[in-house]
Amino acid sequence: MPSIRSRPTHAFLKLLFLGLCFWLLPQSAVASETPKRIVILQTLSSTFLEKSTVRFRAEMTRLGFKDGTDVSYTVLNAKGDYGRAKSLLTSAIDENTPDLVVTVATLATRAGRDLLSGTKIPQMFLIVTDPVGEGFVSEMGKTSGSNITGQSHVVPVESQLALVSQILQTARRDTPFRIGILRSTYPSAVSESAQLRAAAHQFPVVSLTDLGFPYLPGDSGRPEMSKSAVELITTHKDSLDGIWLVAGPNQTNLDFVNTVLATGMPIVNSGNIRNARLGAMLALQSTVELNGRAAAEAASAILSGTNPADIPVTRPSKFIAGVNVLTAARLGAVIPSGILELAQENVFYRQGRGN
Amino acid sequence: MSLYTKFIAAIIPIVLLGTGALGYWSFTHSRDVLYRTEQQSMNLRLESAIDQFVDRRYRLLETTGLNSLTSYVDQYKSEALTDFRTLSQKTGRRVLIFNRDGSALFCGGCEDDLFPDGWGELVSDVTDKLFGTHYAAPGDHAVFSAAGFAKPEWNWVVLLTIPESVVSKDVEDIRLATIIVSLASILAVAGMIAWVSRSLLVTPILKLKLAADSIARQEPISRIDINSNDELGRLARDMEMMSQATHDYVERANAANKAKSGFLATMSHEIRTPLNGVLGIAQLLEDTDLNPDQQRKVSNIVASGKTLLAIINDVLDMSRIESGAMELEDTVFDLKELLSSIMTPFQTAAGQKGLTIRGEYALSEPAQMRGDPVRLRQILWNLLSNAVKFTDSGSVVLTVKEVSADAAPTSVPSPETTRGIRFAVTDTGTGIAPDRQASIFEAFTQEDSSITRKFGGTGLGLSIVSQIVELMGGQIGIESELGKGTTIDVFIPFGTVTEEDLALTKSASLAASGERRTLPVYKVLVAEDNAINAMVVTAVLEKLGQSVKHVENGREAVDEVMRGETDFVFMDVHMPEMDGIEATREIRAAASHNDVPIIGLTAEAFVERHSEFRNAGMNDVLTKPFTEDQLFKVLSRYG
Repeated sequence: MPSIRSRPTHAFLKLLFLGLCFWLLPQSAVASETPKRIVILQTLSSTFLEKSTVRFRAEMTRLGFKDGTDVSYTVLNAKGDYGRAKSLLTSAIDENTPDLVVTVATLATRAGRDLLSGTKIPQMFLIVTDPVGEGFVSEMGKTSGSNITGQSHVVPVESQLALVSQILQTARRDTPFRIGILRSTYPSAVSESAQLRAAAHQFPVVSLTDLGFPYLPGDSGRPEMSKSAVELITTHKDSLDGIWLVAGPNQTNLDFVNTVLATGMPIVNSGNIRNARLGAMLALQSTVELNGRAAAEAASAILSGTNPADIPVTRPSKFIAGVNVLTAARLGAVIPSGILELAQENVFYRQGRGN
Repeated sequence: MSLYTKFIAAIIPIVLLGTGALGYWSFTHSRDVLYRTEQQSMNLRLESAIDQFVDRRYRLLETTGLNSLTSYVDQYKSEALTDFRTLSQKTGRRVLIFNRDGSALFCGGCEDDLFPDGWGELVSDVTDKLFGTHYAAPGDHAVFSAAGFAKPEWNWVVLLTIPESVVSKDVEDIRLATIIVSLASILAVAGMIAWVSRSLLVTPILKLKLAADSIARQEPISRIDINSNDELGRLARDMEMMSQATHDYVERANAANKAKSGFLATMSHEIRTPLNGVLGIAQLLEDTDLNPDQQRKVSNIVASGKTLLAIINDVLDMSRIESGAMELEDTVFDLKELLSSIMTPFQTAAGQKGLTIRGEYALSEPAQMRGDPVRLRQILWNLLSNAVKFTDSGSVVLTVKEVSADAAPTSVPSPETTRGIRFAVTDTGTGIAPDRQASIFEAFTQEDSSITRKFGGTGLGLSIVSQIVELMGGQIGIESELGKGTTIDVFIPFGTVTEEDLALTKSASLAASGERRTLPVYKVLVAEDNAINAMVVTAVLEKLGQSVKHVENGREAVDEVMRGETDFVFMDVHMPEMDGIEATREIRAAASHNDVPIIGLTAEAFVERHSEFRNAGMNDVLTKPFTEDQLFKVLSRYG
């Protein structure tokens, strides 16, 4: 009789054990997989770029790719040098073929494209001003058809021109505002300047002039580029009503912006909210949160098996705006209500140096 | 107008009224809803516009602290005005904006941007919101919604307006739609009501009407084709039962009437037969040598007999009229002769009362016309008899004149074949009280009961006259004044006669003139089972110089005729062994001696039966009691 009573208990324990084994088996298999290797190649050291990289990794974690467990990151900094970028990436690939190469900003992306083209290593870029102009994709919103995809962070030039025109129209001038596009030969800067000038004819309230100077990579090149900019502004001072800062390292360079402001020439537009606080009349940019989230979602899809050739190149659907009322007043304009509402918390009333 | 037409005529105003009321309510309700909807729409638009165009911008200025900058306030006002202009263009509404002080600021949707007059007066009335219609100026009558926006730097009154004619056009569209729908509804409802009423009511009622007509004509109906189990269906079943009951009742009534007619015929025969004997013998007695007392008594017997005979005739006539059995003759007669013959007897009676009686005639030629002379004689006899009877002094005048169709009191169906004759009997007698004149032609009526006691009579005379006149298509009337006299006026339409009629009448009148020419001595056979009547007729015939042989039944009469020694037969109808009808048929059917004149003798006063006798072969029929003159005339005519 006692043996008869003990049989069901034993059978139950056996079933429980088997059930636990089956439950633990896939968990152990997942845990035992090798983490995906992601190589992040940054163009240079920039608060905006670095924040974007950090946000990308945070969003990856949010999507289930735990750092060290599901993915491992190798972060490289080209310091604004194309050759260095290419060299760093070659070494990283030779060390261990990555599952994904993430390139941040235009220069690093261009080096990655040159290196990875023809391979099966997927490449995803972010913070690239002009993917079409760089030849990464034929048209925004389309797929590249190759192993590269990514997102631009830049507001379309037509939108920038339209908003600037709306503000300047309130000045009710008979002649257009003469605005110089202050740009280095940095690829994204050249590209955006060209786009602006091509679209300018649709906006008669402004007249754009290209003011270019050489791009000098690294921290050592910054003062020289600031000097070149001041010289250009001084030279064209009488023929200009304002300056348009385009994408590129100088836009996020505080010293460069302060130097330009010190010339007394109003900055009409800049793709950085901080610059609006400093004195730029209008600033339109995407946020690191939006850029990081879009990049993480594309990277997650690639790591899950989606071919980059099937993922379209996009730009974020949302932007933030900043306006400087004082600079607008200096130009004899007021900020229209629609743009003022768009700026929301980024309405600035003073002009001055920042740090 | 048929029931269906009446029903439709009654229902159409109801449908019109109902549909009209419904349509009017629908129209007014729709109009109110339209105005209310337009009000809500304009209020919402204006509220939304002020919120989006003005208040949003002002809040933005306040939030950003830019409301202290005039340039920003002005710019945002300008933006708001631009938005209002766009709103005006998109909605087709006019936007009027005033400063709170009443000064015009903006007009969106105005021609050439000219600000209209007459709207500024509303500004002071607008504290928060206002809606209504406003007559601003000739040609500018509009529905408006107004709202104010009151801030220190931004104090506007905004009006959104739409021409009242636009809303009115929608109202007109609703009115037109209402009329069309109402008319369609009227047609549909009337059609449905007509169809339903025809199906449920009118058709069954028409079937019931046809059934009722059949019942009225005493035609039996087996079934009325209404199968519904409702009131009409039950009525149909009731009518079917009623038809059966009526049919049974008519059957019984016909049987009873036949029995009554048979009884009257029998009674007539049974009374007339002895009366014939009484009168015949009395008249024979009058021709004998009697002393004055005997003569007076015999005369009284004759008079009493004639009175009794007249009463019997009146009763029989009344019975025939009531049963519809009276038929009128249509023969050619000479009115002048008739008038002459009828006036003669009354000359004597009037003379005995000291009255003058005369006839005044205005008749065109020919005097012959078609009609029933017997009944005309009866009419005039009654009227003259009454006139003489009820006149103690003075005169009695019979006026006869021909009247044209236009002057006839009744419609004459064919004036070219009709001669209207007016007879008026005027007396200077007692007269008739006005309140009694209307009932004087009713049966069994005399002016009062004392008249019956004083003058006698059944009271049937004038009633019979009236109904015979009506039967002839004529009219009778009375004018009378109590104590002064009475005129009874009779109009009768007679038929005209042809030349052929006149020729026939001339020869017949010559034969019947009865100038008491000397008759040939005929071998006359009298077949009569009643010994007294046989004796009377034999005596009269012998008085007329005839050779008479008497037999007692039809068989003997046939045998006697077959012997070939008979020139003339007077054949009683009712006889034992073989009646006169059968005997006549045998004589007429015989190979020889079948053309002997046969005159029927009958106590049956129903002339309808006389045709049956003639059909059997009799040449003529005399009704008992007959007179010597009647015997003479038939002998003269058929001998």
